[in-house]
Amino acid sequence: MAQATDITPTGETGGLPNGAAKQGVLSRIRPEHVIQGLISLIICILILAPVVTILSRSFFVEVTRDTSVVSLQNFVKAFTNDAILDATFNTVIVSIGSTAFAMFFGVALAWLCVRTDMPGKRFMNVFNTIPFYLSPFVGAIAWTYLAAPRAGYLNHLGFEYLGMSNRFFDIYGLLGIMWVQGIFFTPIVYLMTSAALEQMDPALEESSRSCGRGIAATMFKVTLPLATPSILSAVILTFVSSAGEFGVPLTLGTPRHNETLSTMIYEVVNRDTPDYNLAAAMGSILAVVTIACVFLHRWMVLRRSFTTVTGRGYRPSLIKLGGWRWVGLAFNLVFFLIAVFLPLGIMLLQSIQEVWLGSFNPGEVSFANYLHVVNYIPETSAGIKNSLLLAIVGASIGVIVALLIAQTIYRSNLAGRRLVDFITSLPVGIPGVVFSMGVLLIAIRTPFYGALFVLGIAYLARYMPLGQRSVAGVLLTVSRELEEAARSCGAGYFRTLHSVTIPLVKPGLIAAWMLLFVLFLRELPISILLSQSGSEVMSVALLRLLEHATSGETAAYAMIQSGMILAVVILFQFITRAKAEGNVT
Amino acid sequence: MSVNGHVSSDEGFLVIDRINKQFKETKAVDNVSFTLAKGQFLTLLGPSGCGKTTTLRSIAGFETIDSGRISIDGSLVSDPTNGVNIPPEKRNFGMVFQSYAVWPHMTVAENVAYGLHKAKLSRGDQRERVQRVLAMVGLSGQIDRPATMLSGGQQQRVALARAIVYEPKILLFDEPLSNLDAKLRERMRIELRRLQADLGITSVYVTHDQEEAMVVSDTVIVMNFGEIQQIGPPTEIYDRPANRFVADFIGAANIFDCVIRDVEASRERAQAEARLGNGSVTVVGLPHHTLKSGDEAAMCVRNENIQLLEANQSAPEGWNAIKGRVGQRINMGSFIDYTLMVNDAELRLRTPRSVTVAEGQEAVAAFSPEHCLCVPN
Repeated sequence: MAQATDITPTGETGGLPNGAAKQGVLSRIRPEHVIQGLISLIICILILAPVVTILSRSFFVEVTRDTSVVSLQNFVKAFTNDAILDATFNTVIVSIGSTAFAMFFGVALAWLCVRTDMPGKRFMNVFNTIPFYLSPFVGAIAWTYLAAPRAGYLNHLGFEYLGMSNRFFDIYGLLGIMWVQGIFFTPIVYLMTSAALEQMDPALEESSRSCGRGIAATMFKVTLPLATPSILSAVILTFVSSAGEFGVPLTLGTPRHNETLSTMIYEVVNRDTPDYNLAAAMGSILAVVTIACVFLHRWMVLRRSFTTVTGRGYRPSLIKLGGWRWVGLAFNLVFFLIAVFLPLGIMLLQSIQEVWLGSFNPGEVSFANYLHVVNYIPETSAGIKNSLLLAIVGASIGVIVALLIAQTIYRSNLAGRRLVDFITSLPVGIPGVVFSMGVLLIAIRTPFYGALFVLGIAYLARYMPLGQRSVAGVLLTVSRELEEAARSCGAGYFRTLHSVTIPLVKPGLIAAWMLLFVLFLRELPISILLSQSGSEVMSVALLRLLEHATSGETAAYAMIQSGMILAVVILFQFITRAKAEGNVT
Repeated sequence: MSVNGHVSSDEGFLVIDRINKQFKETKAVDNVSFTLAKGQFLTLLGPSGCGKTTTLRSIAGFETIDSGRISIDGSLVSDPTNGVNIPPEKRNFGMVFQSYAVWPHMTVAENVAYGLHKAKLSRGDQRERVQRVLAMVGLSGQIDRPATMLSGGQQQRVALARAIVYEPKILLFDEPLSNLDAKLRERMRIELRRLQADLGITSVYVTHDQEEAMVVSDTVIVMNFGEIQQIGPPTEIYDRPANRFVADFIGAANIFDCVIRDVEASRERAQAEARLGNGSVTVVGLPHHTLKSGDEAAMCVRNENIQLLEANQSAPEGWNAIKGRVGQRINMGSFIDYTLMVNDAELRLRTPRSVTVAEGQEAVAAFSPEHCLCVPN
């Protein structure tokens, strides 16, 4: 061991063999670098190309049919046009209103379901997340059936039995948009807040109680301040989603000319002579604001990512509400009623009546509407096939991409991984219609315009990052050493991926698959600009039904879409529950 | 081969040659070189952030070094300047991780057999081999249990079996015992050492626990701030620390600033003036070979090398004797910890239970020049 005492630098060659150098040149390029680099490059291009197209088009003005000049004219037009200013104002109002609604319900319900002894929490916890998966667009349609002046079922009931005006409820307009968006974005706040509350060290609350503070003081002085970062980040995401929401304002705003920027952009692009440059300018304005919000969110999350990690595994003691727990349950049931029961109920009732005459007739139950939309209307039956195809194939590809991107960002030492992280966080902030217009402007110059796979690619670029989060969430809990152990045993990249990484992140992969499946199956804002005859998808077909068909057919089709979504969500619950139980035994 | 003749590929089974690794602004590994002969057990010891783990992970190939070279059994595995960076799976080592890293979705047998895929064994042979290795680590009978059903100590044994089953060229240990409780840790380190000696696998072991390093190693490397502080056998590291950091990090020692006054020609003894609080005392000690008269240095006496005498007793001939007052006396069970107040400085010493001097009493701390080490700062 004499040589071990040598710390003086060795000579030029240092006694090291040089023969291995040749082999080394090849050893620098590894399969994981190639795969991760390629997939990152492709995804980044798919995300950036539409964004760059929109941004650059907004600075061009068409002079003649074929020549354009660089100009700020579009922005001048956008900021001086009354209709566009109105739409901007409406977007802001609607986003603030929906966010406030979602925050109130989301935080209150999360607190009730996680930290108190409210009865029936387990069921409520499931019900409260259902609207997260259902389509807000379908929700908006359902609420027109419930609360349209005169025809709405609630108005009908109020008029018949309570002697109220049959125009008492009016879902059309800004308030209605806020109402429906608020309902459907509540689960975002609910999920993020309850996660924060579940992870909170109960000793923090208990020490407040031991200092003589009551339930209310503890909640306002300890619990909520500690959950504030999570609540705030949920609020930002809700605001961004609200600002970019398309289906709800299209259903509830456009009929009374209450446009938001999303619907306005759609209207400008959908004109007989579309003004793409003006639409691009509006899209740029909207996207800049929402992307700024996303960065704010990112900054907040990154800043605290190292401080929120707390040990779980012990049940926090619950707050005893006494008689108030029934009030809590009633409050939660109200949310269940307006978010799930009433919308799905009215859809079901209307869908099983061949002709809807303002009220339900139990003697006239029929499935004719279902048969009709599945078999006889070409657009709707093609929509089911295409949407299922996109959802299944798209989600499967999306999960693989999500895993590889998550690996690139969190596990590799690839030079551009910070940039990949940055770019893949962009789409969350880009409203669907804006992103879709970017894809449209590119696709329209190719023979692939209207092809189904273009929709698939656009879906993937816009929504894959959401799946990536599910995967990354699990990947980050899997110790890096588990993968390194495989490497040390002589397993290469692929064997490690297949035998260690994938089995360990499987819960994340399943969750990501389900999320992408649901998002793809109900997708509207991207599809509406890109789908053509031959590439019909469900939500677009639903919009056409809404415009031209009977309410029964529309409701039936919406029920089919919701049924497929719920089936997958329930299946997922069973898979994860079975897995959790399997791990215990 | 080598210009100054210290290192050659025939001698070094594992050769680390001037490796460097930078993380953003911090230099994690700063020009580290050492070689390890076949079958030897080397420990990298140091506080957290000293670069020991980064060095180990560089050998494994989990970290890519910025410059320098690493070779294992004569084949170059890392040489960034010449574009050599063999991936971990081709370096043929076994590794035991701090978190055990036992795969929760596999049984014990599947975990252990994982590295045998290249061996092309029949099902029966493979199982036989897994069983043999499990017996070696004391886990016979657990072969078909799910890995998650094992205790921490058992998981650590699975990790060890998994790392040695394919007879790798070197074994790497990344603080493998730090998650175990104290009793188990003590037992495991002795077992580990025995197993390594039986198998004769060249091993590199990372720990921040100096006691562990003493028990398991042939050679210890003490690191700090990415640099090697000292290389040597455990006893040498303990008895002859190369500098103030090593003296302080290994064992419990009293360390005071001192100035070297007079070094004897033989270099066996030196007089030094040590500052104890607001006063100073002159001591005779053993000077480090780099020190000369007038140097600022550190005087270091280990707690257990100081004898506590009552005020009227006299110290052995030639020993240093420092008068003080007993400040605190703590019974630690097998020994007694004394704090002796000298001026306003504290001298800590550890005595057998037979020594009984009451708190507040005058007493003398006596230690031989042999145990009074003068080392560079």
